[in-house]
Amino acid sequence: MMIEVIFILMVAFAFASIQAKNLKTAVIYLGLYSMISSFAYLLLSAPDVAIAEAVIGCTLASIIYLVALQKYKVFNICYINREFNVSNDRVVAAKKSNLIHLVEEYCSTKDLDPYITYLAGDLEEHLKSFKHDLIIYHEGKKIYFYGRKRNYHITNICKYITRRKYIDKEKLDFKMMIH
Amino acid sequence: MTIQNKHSEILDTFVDILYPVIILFGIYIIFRGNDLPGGGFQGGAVLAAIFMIRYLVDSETTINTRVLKTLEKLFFILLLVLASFAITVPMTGCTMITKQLYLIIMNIFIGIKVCCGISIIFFKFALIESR
Repeated sequence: MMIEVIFILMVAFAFASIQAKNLKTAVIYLGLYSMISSFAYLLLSAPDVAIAEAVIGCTLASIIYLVALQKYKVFNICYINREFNVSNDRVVAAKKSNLIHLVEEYCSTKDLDPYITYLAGDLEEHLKSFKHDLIIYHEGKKIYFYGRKRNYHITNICKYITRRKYIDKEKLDFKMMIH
Repeated sequence: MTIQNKHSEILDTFVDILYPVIILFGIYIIFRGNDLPGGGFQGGAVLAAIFMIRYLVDSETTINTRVLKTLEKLFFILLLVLASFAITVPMTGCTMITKQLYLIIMNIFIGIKVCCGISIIFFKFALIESR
């Protein structure tokens, strides 16, 4: 009787981890699934395997998944504006446009952690050494987004911004470039 | 880039209490592995949890993986030597106690090797991959 209940719970948690909306919850469900499968091994009289499953599946795999998710969350953004001539934080904060707020909004919906660097330098120099996930170039009415091809967040951000009608209102020249 | 971690006093104190329990449990699993459920691999994995907990509490801790790497290699060679020794020398004249002792020593070696290996994997993943 006990073993049947455990089998049903295993299937239930496996489905829950597939259907979870958040990746973090999926990882936790996977850990629970591992824990229950370790109980199943114990009931099927394989205590050795049960210990190994509890240690590897429940602890190690979950921790490695969580660390990977934490790494994946960090999103490096570089904001270049020619008008930033003064190296003063207050000036930058005052000039911080609506665009950055939109990008930050997008990041909060996708569970990303935006790290924004504000620069006043030359665009070409930063494009040569492409260290950031996203480079936003802002000059007057021109806004260019530079991103890598394999990063699918870039197109999503552009879609998000165009959907919010910010571009039409300000009559901006908005372009997305794939590097 | 390191994971942002606010230093928590509660977690710190709790983990300080937890360390000796984990170490004792791991050593117990390794030593009783020959006649009870457990063994070198499981005990080594439990021991490796110490490093992970240390990283989770304080992400600033860096560990010298070179020491762990050399330890792992050394114990791997020792394991091979011991196993080949046991295969070549006939064990017909051995008593029960020597067999048990042999198994315990093998388990200890496997435990240390697995502990080093898993912690190397974890630290490579957590620290070095991120830079």
